[in-house]
Amino acid sequence: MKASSSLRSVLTSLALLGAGFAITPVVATLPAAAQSQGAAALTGNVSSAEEGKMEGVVVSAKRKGATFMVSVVSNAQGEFSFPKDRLVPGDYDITMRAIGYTLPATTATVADSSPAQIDLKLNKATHEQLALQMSNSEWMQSAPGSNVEKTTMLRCLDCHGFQRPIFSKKNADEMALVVHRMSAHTANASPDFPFFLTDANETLAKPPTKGEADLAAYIATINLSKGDDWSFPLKPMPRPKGKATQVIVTTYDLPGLAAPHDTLRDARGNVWFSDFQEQFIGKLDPKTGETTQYPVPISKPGFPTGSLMLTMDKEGMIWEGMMGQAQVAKLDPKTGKVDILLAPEWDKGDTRFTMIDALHSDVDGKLWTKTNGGPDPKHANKLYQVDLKTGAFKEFLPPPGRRDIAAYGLVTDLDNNVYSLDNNFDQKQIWRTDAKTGEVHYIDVVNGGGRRGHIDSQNRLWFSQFYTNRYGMYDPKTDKVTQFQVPTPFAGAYDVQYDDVKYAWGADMSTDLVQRLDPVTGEWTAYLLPISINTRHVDVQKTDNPYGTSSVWSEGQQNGKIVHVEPTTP
Amino acid sequence: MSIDASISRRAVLRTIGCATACGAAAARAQDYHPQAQTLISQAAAHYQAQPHDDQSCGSCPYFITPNKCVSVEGDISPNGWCNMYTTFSPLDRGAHQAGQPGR
Repeated sequence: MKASSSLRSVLTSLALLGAGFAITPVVATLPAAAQSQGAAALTGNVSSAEEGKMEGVVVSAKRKGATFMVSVVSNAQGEFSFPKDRLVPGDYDITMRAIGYTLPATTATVADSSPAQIDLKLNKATHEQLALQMSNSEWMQSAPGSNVEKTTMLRCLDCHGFQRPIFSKKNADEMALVVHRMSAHTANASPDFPFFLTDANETLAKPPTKGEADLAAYIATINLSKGDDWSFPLKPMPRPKGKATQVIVTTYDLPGLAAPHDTLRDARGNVWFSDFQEQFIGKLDPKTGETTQYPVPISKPGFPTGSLMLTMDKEGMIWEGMMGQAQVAKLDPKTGKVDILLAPEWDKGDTRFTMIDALHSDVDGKLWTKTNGGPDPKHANKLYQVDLKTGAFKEFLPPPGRRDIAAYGLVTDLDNNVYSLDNNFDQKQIWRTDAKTGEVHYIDVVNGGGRRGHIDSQNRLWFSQFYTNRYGMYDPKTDKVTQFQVPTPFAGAYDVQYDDVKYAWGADMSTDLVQRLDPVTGEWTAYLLPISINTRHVDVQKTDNPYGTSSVWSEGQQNGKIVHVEPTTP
Repeated sequence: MSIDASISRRAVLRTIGCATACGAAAARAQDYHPQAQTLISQAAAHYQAQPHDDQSCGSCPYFITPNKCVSVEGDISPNGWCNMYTTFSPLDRGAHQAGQPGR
């Protein structure tokens, strides 16, 4: 980790120059095109004494020293195959994911001549190994408790997994202090960046609220405070089957303490990413695994760094909302130059940028953004339109008597009007603000508000509902919302995007699954990722897909990964 | 208990210990130290100069040798304690490798 500390120092120095630099890992080049999809580099079978041949085992190959890992999934006959265009010759570590099973340390050597063959014999996991394999969703599916209690607990996932509270031995009173402390942390805090809000001391001088005490009491019923083991059986989800096994997943390691929040693929195939806790704009070259970091200067020393939403305008400029630094950052990828715009209340309290959308700024020369946590508690969240020529911020206000119109997600439509998504269980509306008139149109969504989303080519809004675990699609032509229930319980649906052909792709914070929905037939395909990951934003790759169907990019916000999920059949 | 009776509770605890304390030992504050940030007061952290049972600041990954903390202001005794005390590695944000907590 000292290397990453040094990295931060370098970043700070380079921030003054506004220059980017490349971090060159040991690189194993990925062939750009699928020249020989039929040929295999590595094949094999997966089996166990308990099940015989096993379907749905995610088998991963990582070349020694490489910064990315390739995964495929075994079929109904227990067979798996890595295409030749995905594994260059070399020595590979082989791992697998099949909950309830383990695999001894395994390696394979891939040669240029003929496919390598390896058979994997899995061992039944012990109870304690199983506990460590459980996804967040599987914990919630296993634990007793009401839907409200479990849904409330999903908030933990903003900063860390359920392993912390569920493996804890704290009783209700002790846990209440912990839950109370969480309200004093910033929205982008994490265990390794435990940022506090400026009023943390005042908050923590007060006792826990009833809601915090209730959540703590619930956690104390499902953690290890009353014994050495959990008081409920652990219930793993079934492994993938059928279509869900026909996929290639590439997982890229990012350097240091990376916490990628949003990913976005540009026309050249580079994947840009924001970092939730550190002050840079990142770029991944998927062909090589090389990562470049473009430092963003600090405006408010001592305040949290990092960014959330990343957006790209039609000229290819990269924009980010820089969270606690209260900045909008713009990167010109051609020159590496970073420019900063400061929020009108940038130096007041905990004002922070979260969302920013420049995708349709070509319509009127404006981008949309918003601040949260401003100094006026009655109007802490502000929606702004920014004139890209002058840098001027224009605030848009809600109708008289209505709450702030800046909420959680922001999504611009094809006319550069903006949708606001409010991420609350009881929120029954989303809304659209007209770019020219400022008129606000409210849209009923039953409940669950919205978290993140995207516009499709038909000007329809696709959005996730985190707490009610649904995807929604709003069609402005009919003024109707269609909702789709995510089949995995307590998934924590975070984002969804339509590929403009057939499928809507979604990611969530709880399951380690990437979901693909056919909205016409209602067919869901859930692709299991090779590691526990906490995905957030999705970016659908609509072109350049060698298997003729859309693929999706997402990220491991809590473990520094970027993933590319490519179905091999429609 | 509805756990398989053949499972040793001691084994579970041993594993949990590895999931927590071992991770913490691999990630001391001086190794991952995040940038300077607002710290909370000792009162807000419920800091005390004495250990809490077998828990003390010296074994917490937020402790900075010899007498500081990543999150709490002022001088901190390695024998002290506050309610931020943890044995989880700060580098394990929960998105662990399956079967391999921490990263």
